[in-house]
Amino acid sequence: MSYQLYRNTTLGNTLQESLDELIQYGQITPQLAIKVLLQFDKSINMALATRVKSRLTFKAGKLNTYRFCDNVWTFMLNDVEFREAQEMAKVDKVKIVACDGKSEFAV
Amino acid sequence: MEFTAENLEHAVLQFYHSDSAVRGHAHQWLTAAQASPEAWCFVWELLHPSKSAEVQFFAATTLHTKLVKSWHQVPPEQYASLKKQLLEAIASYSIGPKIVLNRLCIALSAYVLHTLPVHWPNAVLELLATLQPSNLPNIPPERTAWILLEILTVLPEEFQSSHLAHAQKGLVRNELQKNVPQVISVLQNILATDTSAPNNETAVEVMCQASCCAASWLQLGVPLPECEKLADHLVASVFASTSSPQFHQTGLAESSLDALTNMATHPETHRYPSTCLRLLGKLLPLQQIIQAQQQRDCTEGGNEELVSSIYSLFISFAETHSRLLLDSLLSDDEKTNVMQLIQLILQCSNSPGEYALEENTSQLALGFWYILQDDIIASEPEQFHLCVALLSPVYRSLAEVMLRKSMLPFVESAWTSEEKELLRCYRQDIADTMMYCYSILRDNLLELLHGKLEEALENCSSDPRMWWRSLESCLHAFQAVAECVDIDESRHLPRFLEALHRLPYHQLDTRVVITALEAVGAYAEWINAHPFVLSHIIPLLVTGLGSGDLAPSATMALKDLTRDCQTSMAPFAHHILQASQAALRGGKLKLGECVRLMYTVGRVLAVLPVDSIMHYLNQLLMPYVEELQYLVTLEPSAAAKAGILLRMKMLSMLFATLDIKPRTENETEPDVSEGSDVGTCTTVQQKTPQQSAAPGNNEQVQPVFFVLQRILPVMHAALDKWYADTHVVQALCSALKHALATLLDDCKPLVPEILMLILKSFQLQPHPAALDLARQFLVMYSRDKSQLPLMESLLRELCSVTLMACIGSSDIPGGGVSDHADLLEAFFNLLAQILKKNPQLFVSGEGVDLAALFQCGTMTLSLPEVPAVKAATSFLVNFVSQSRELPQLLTVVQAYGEELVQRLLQCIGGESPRSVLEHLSDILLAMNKKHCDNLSRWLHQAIHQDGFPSPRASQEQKEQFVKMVLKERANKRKLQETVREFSLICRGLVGTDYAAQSSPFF
Repeated sequence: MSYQLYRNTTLGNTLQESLDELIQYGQITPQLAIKVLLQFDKSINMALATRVKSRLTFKAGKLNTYRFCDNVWTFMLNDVEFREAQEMAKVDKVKIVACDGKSEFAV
Repeated sequence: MEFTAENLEHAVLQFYHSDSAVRGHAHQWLTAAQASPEAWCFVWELLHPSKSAEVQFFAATTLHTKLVKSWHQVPPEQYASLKKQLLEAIASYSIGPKIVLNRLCIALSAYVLHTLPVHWPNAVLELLATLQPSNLPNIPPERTAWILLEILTVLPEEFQSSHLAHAQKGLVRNELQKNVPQVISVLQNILATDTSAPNNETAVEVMCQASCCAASWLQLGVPLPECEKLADHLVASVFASTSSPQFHQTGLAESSLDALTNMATHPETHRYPSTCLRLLGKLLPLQQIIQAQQQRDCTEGGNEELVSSIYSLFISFAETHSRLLLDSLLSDDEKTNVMQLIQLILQCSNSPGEYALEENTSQLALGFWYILQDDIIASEPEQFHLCVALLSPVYRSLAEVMLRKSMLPFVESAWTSEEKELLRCYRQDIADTMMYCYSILRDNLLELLHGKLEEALENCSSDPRMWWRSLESCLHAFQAVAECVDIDESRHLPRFLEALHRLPYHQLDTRVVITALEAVGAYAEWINAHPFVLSHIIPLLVTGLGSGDLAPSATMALKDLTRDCQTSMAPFAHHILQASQAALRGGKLKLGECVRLMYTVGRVLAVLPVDSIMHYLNQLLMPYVEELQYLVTLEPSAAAKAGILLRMKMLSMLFATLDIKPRTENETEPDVSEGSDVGTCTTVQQKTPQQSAAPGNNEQVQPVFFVLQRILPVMHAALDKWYADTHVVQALCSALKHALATLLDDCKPLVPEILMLILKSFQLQPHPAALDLARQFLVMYSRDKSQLPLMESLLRELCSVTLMACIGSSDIPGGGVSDHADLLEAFFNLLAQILKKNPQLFVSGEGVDLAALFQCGTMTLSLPEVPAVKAATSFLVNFVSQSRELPQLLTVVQAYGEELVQRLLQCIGGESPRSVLEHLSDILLAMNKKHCDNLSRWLHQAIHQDGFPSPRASQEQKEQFVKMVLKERANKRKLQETVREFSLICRGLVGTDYAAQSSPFF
């Protein structure tokens, strides 16, 4: 089983909104919707693990909060600068949610 | 067209042998045929031996699809006959075509998964018994074995990819695991064939299939002690496949290595530590193959893929069992094997050749070095010291290997962009690995790096073209450990930074200087504690500003230094400012660099006396202001826009950094970052000694004030021509926002003029950036009596313009209000903030149409844009919450509350995405707290409308919902739960797996 944390992304939320609408209009069944959602989990976990090769560094002005709960790390950073030779972006708040990439179990 | 065998055959032929238009049509029709119930019949006709291979393949695929997707169509009394048909079909295709046979085996495995354990309890055992040569005399024995293995291989694979119900999945897994010993025994027998002389091609094929099958079952999880023999056979297969030419192309080595990897890395293996260590002993001899291949590499070209696969097996083992390895390292019996494994992985990191161009193996081990050091650090103190003592030489060698592997190529132009990107990522990974080396070696690593740096410098002095790469990789390594080195370090770093002074820049490749600049930036914090080194590095930084290639790194390093060591830079201020001026005027800097350089200029100017600041501003900045003044007179064009944006951004950066009165630790500083407001105060992190010691500063006027005063008329002129351009308005607002953050109360004399500017911009074209800026002023000055009339008129005007823009567009089909979602978001955020901080402002002046604002907020709730809905919710919650204290608000809630309740129910009932339900509940809670009687009446009236808010909710459910809502006046979570449940009822999702599994509020 794959991690479900990517459901709470723009892509995941939009997919769930679309599935909700399709169910409401009777175009798909909730059973099919759950299959789509599970397939989404599988595909996005797989795609992020295998197709993303990019790498960049960032530095935060402040580590505001951190916690490690149920094998999930959460970091809240402030004043974060993403860099690679040049500045790429400056962001006021960044939340990092990190799970064990090698774990077979879903959260 | 009817789904007859004849028609289907024709369509399949069309699909394979026609142009794309016909093929598309055929594909559509064939898919419909697969979905139809008739497919259960026509597949058998199409599987007839007389049909073409394409038709047979289509039939086999269809059969598999039906078994997976339409199993419910098969009545249980037909299960037995279906099984018989499947087995007969497999038998009849035993000699091929292979592609059809493979599909049929997959179809049979899908059948097994559905019938285990109830309808076919001993499926695996029966298959093992049935598919024996004695039962199938017409099929060659090797072929029978191959078929059995093919079915056994696809069974766990089909199981992993199937979408069985949760309970069924558990049952099937148990059944499969029960049969592990029998399957393993079959595989062992097959793999035990004399590998030195396999009798024929089929036998080789069978062995390959057996190792694939082993990989497949081992993934399912086999207790490690049960597969020791199997491990021996698999290792022997790898050796056989490399020694015997007939195995070369079969993939036997790869599949055996896969099986061994699955065996060694299954999560359950940690339960058998001693078996794991025995397994390691069995695997280690495989290193002979690596050595043989590497020797061959020099003569006839080795097999890099095979070498990588073997290294991957070792690395996977070591990564999975790193803690066990460390524990075993301290026991004499196992130490040798463990050290051998670690040395092998070091050898992998040190693979010969240049990464990305000549080899791809060395990167495999990078993850292991992290895991190992992480486990060492996590050890108890006693074990930690022992492990460090044992493994320091390994990490030392690793650091030396990393220095070599991270060298840049001599000529980068020969590399493709993809290869360059790979190398960039690889070097970043190496930089991280250096940090891990530092965690183990600490001071010894700095010593090592320093020695290498001196060596490289010496070599460079005689032949820089040959040795610059070693120098660069040393600098890169120093940069990599910057973050970990102690701020008190005073032995190696002063020597390192002093060495930078001795770099023969002019003879070196530019890339060395770039890395040197980056390293300097990385040590900014440390330099702040050791400012005496600045004299060594300022020349390097200043030189960098003069060259187009070096400017990006030089401006970045200067930015880092002026951020972290602002006061220590004072002695070099004139030098830096003159160089900056020359660079800005030299025309070699790109736009981003010009803006970034203004950061340094602002920070350095701030430590000078005001007279000097004004002098420099006149010299350095005024030309830009004059250019801006000229550019805004031109007719709009792309070039003019770029020019204006650059100068605005430079000014903005200067406004943010040129602050001669920074707040001390006890004071507070306004946070003007995106999404925050000036009223939010945060404690200043750092105070620079010189700044807090300058007592006269408070009476002095901030230089930014003069610049702002000078630039305001230019901004007015810019707006006349560019008010419709989002980028220009954003840049202008951002500059003003930064100026306000620096000036704070010093800004007061300019407030009327700035507000005029904001209003002018907003009236010409409402823009969210102007609202954000206005919000800062409203929050900052709305309690200041002298500014109150100005603030009241600003709010009134902003409200009337926004309402006009949004309500005017509400009738436009296909967009309308949604086109203004970002404006509404900024607008309601502004209103919510004022309602929270100073609600009196809404009612003190006249002219704010509170009813229209409330209605607009209600309307916004139905937008699909979540951030706008969130902002409107926040506004409405604050509005309702304040309505008992302010009669003007109360009147509005009483008059338009019903409309709001109706809208809320519509949204909950399915009009809005589920992600906003959480926010909508907040409004219900606020209404219930402040207007419970009205809320009760309005809710009851609303739910008595037929089919409202959704025909799916029964009257009883609606009443229950209202009862629950009215009951809850304190517990936010409980109310959210009630709203969510009702929303699911209205959307037809309640009780479904989908609703339970999708996130509560997404």
